[in-house]
Amino acid sequence: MALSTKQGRQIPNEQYEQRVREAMEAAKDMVLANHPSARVRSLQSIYNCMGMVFASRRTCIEPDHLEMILVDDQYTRISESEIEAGDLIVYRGDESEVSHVGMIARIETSLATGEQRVIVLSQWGRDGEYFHEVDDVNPRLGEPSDYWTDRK
Amino acid sequence: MNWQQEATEIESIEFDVQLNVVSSFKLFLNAARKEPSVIALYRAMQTSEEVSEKVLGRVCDLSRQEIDTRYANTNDTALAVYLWLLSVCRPTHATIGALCVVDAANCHYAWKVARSILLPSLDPVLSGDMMAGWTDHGAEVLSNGSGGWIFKPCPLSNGTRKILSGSAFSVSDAGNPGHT
Repeated sequence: MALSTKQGRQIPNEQYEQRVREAMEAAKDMVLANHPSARVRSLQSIYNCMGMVFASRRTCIEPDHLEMILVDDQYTRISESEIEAGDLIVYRGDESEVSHVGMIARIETSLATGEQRVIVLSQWGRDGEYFHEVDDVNPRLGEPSDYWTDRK
Repeated sequence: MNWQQEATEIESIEFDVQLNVVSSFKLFLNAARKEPSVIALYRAMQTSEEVSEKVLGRVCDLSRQEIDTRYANTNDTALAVYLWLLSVCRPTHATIGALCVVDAANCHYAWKVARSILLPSLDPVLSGDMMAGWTDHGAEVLSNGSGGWIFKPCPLSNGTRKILSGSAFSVSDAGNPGHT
């Protein structure tokens, strides 16, 4: 589908077919069994993590295109202490390669301990979209690495 | 050599779920190469022509299975992994397997592997990092000059390639001038 950055550069993308319900349910069961903080938002497979964040859940964008989008859409890198709901988190894997992207959904503060709990919303490949704590992801999705905002 | 155990796992819904958690073809292959069942099958295929032939047979069988075309092909992950292993271990088998896979409906990763095998000059990406440590088996893996590797499958024995048409492939010239 036609998709471009704010600077007009085309963003290559492709739409997946929806997976059968049985596969999506199996994915949900495995995610929930292995990630205690995870909560299902939606079980679709036609978009990936990048497509959720940058294309309104309509298509898949390779993580390799993240840097171009961040530059063209004028995102700014911020520290963990500066994040707010709506900002982005980037996960990186081997050799700091982008492996996953999510959106900060909310930041909860424990009344008892004062500790902050960052909840992320992200699409896990073709396995569905989940709310989860920032570091409670499948190891194949990499490690939390950097935060970005488009707030002005 | 009993390859059934690995095949059963690779064709399982759990395996499909595990590998589809990633967001790109490159990450998919990178995840696949770390799976114990894939490593075990790779080793079996390296040492046994018979196992490779059975995997090729499985590729053809899975490609022909009827699916509900409203959805993604449920064999996509297994087909992609089998085809990739064939491309690493038995390039000629891989070409035959790829010709079967292009007829399977609603594939995604499997078509990407097939395209890289059949049209390497257009889609030369089974790159390299995934092949690290897998270069001792006679598959043709070439340095790309920047520390990585580029996978180049062998052509059919007569040096020609079938010209394909269809939804997944509509290229009239499927030659591979960069390969001898």
